[in-house]
Amino acid sequence: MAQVELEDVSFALGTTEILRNVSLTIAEGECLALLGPSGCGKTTTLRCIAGFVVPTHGNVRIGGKSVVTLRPNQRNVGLVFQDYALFPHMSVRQNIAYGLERRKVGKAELARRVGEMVAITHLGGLEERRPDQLSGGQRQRVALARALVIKPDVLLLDEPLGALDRLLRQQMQVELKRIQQDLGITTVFVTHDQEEALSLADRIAVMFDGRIVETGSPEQLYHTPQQRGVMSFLGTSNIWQAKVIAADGPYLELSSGDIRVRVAAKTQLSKDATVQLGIRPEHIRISAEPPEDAVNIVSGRIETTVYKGAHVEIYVGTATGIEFLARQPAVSTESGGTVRSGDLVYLSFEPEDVLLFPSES
Amino acid sequence: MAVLVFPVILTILVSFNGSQFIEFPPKSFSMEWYVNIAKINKIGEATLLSLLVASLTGIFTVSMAIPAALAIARHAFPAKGMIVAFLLSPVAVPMIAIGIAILQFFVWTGLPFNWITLLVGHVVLTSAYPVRTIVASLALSNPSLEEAATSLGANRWTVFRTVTLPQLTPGLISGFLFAFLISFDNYPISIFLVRSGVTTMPIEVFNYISQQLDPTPAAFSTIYIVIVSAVIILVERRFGVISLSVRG
Repeated sequence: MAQVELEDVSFALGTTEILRNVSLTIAEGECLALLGPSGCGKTTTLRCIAGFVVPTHGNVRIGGKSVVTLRPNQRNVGLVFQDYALFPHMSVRQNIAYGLERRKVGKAELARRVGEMVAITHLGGLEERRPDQLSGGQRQRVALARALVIKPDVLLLDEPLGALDRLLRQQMQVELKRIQQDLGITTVFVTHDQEEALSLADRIAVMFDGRIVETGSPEQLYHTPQQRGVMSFLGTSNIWQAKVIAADGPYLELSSGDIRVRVAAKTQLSKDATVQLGIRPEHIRISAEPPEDAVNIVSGRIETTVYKGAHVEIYVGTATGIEFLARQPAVSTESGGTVRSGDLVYLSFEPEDVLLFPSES
Repeated sequence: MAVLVFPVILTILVSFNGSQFIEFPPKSFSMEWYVNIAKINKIGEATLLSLLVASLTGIFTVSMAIPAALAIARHAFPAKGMIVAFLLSPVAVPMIAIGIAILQFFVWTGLPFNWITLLVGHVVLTSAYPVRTIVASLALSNPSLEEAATSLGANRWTVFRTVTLPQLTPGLISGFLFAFLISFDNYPISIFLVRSGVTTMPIEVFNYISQQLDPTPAAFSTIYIVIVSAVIILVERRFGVISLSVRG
């Protein structure tokens, strides 16, 4: 277990820059998610730590020691591939033992450590099976066991749950988190799935276009993202453009067309400045009559409703052309009567729930 | 399917025919021609030499094919398309042409004609097949297996020995089989390269046919067909290699 540092790492293939000045410190025992759309460089970053990619510039340190000159087999790193890459000609036991054999671990010690790993990953009874005789979830656990048994300084996971179906993915999420916390191992995992990042990671680094644009805890990034792109990538959101019309003490008044919004003023902004406003769908209340106590009220007509089981997503179009998405618990629509397309409704939200981003050109 | 199987069935039926001549449908049953196999000139000696040459041809071509196939499947290099086409060209060039070319080469170099000459000729002829089957094996295997082994602490040689090579086994075996079988019953190239004292099974069988018209060669072929089919069925069961060469 060790701290991992990336210092100003850049990587280019020919003239294509894949990583641009990536700096990142992962604390001992921390679980960090590299989150971003495909092609943003997150897998390349992971491969830099594993040693399969040598940075064109910058330094990589594991446990304080620079590893850029070390080949992947000289670094003590546990890597779990997206497709697991289990050795098809070996049994589960042989797969798990592979790294220990390379380390010339004695027979008794090897058997003990493999047995321990089999227990931790709930693979008991499957030791003699071949990978093609296992289910997706079992393969995933073998891949994890094989990477963990060597007691790596850092565990690296590339889209660890990407190949599993939805139900299994949720189970493995819980399992993975339990194993990671029990062993207290420094972990970096790559994902494009924001839900996976939010539920597994202690900290998330969001990557766009070869750069880390923002890092923070899942709560920080979800509730108070500093960048518009991060807000729209993590979860669902409503983002629209508005102009500052008045600064009123702790509040700012903004307008876009006939929609007027009052927002908590966290930054100094002059009159007429153009900004982006963002609000999460679950922070919007929806009612048939204009609520009396609300500060921000926007009227519109329901365009579509999408039933999602626990909640309903309601798309509301306004006269200015901005479309809002509101998320309501499914029961409330039941008790409040049926919402139908075309109904006139009022959206209301608190000034504190609106996020304000300086406009991007 | 019928077109493929018919000559085989015909050969087997004719081999048990009691008549002096090759006739169909057979009128009587006899094992006489199986006994008569021994009368084919030098058949034992020639078959042994064919087995030796075919085995060595298989071993040499497969060993040469491994690095070539690895380079083709895993690396990009200049003029790759041309080199691949060149490596596979013996499949496309008529065997007679290859035979004449090799003959001229040996005459030009002044090397003596013996069974090693034959071996060299057969290696040239068959070299393309294992490259194909091994490339097909590699294309089916997952390159991240090798990375997984590396990150678990294996050096290049250990990765090759413990991960790459086992992935190649079907390709190696089917490549060996192709080379072996092509060499074993090759006539058009061998005919140019054998001299007195050195002779192979197909040459002696053809010689026999040109002098006699009885079903002895059919009896010999039947034994050959049974053995080859048994080997292919066993290997296919174990490694699924025939489907591999089709896919490649």
